[in-house]
Amino acid sequence: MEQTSRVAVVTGAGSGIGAAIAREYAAAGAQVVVADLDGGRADAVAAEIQTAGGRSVAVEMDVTRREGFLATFAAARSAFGGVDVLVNNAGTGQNGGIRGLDDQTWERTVAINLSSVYYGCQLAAQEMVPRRAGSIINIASRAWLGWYGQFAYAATKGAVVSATRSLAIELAKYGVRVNCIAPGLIDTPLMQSLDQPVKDKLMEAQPTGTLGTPEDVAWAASFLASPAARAVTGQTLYVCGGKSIYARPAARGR
Amino acid sequence: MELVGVGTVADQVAEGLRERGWDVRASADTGAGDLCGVLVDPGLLIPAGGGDEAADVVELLRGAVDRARARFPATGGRVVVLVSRDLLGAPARTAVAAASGALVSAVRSLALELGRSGITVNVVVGLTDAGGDDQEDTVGAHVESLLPWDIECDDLAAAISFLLDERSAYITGQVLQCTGGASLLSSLSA
Repeated sequence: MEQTSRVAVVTGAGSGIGAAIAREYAAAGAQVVVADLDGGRADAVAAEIQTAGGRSVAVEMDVTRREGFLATFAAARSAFGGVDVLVNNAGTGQNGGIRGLDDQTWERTVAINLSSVYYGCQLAAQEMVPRRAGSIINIASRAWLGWYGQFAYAATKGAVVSATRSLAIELAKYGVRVNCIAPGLIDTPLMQSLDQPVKDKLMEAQPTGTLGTPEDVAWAASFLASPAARAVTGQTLYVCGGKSIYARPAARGR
Repeated sequence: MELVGVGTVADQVAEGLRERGWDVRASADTGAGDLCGVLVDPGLLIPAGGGDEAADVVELLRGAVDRARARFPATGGRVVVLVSRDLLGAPARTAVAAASGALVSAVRSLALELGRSGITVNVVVGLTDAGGDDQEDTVGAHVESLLPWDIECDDLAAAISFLLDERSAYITGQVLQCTGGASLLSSLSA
């Protein structure tokens, strides 16, 4: 989808879904700030975009700190003149029952998945409202609907959905659109690391019988950032192979 | 792609799709394997005349899907259904609300049924023009985009075009609200 001359900041863009979104935007004509905690990975993705003829800069960024966003937005202004699109993609997973969840994991999950969205959205609003234009996309997860062992992850992603809806209402009159994407099973290193029986069981529960790719999510992110979605705000767009329609929980007693 | 629909909204959406490069045809004159998508527009965005909108729309959808399946290529196809934001509840427009809600449920069911065949089925939601009805003071009678611009038929075409695209294969059973935020603050829109 057309993104010509837009400036996009993508967090967690050194790999996986974030990298796919950065590549997609650049291929569509956007100037992209590739931000990642791992500076080397960010450099690699930005270099790849430049080699392909796109415009991109890399920033090493910790999304759990406001200073990280301040520096990244400053880099975007310095390199490209401002920020038109922010994708809050950086996130972390948590797997395991609540009885084993420790405070450190909980606080870390909240910091990475939720505080980052707060910092990013606040700075983006300050940047976009005066210009009466802009698009914010938060990457949530289908898991916000609830799943086993996902207490912290689902809670933070549910908060991202809720925050997105509130901010969409708050910023609509300024012409700033705020949406989120809720990916389902996506072919990422985490998915690949699962044991085959676990993968088989997950795939059985997929209505499409297929596994999504980071590029599937990037396509949705491209639509939401583009003028084609000028009527869309506050949306939770599920990219999940239909699993959000219904996923059968495990049998009783398990 | 085939367009199944009635009224001026369908015509304007079809025009928007043609501008985006889609070959839109109104009748089933494509051969097997040539059809890539179907837009089903039962005309729910047109001001209602208090008719029996709910009665036939699911049959219309089912029939369109059944006919399309024979003409989709083996890899699958796309079905998009256009409904009204009234599905969230709209005073004095119960027929449009019920028809829209029924279609959403039907779409979700078809998405599960057809998922393994590569056929995606999704909903685009637009705003029904309430016109000058006599429910002005009733909660929910008039809904508007929260964005500082009007929602046009072309915006619906853009969203439909996105869902019809072959790259939208992993999106099925979903409800895409093209209402400028007018669907927010409803428990049915999350």
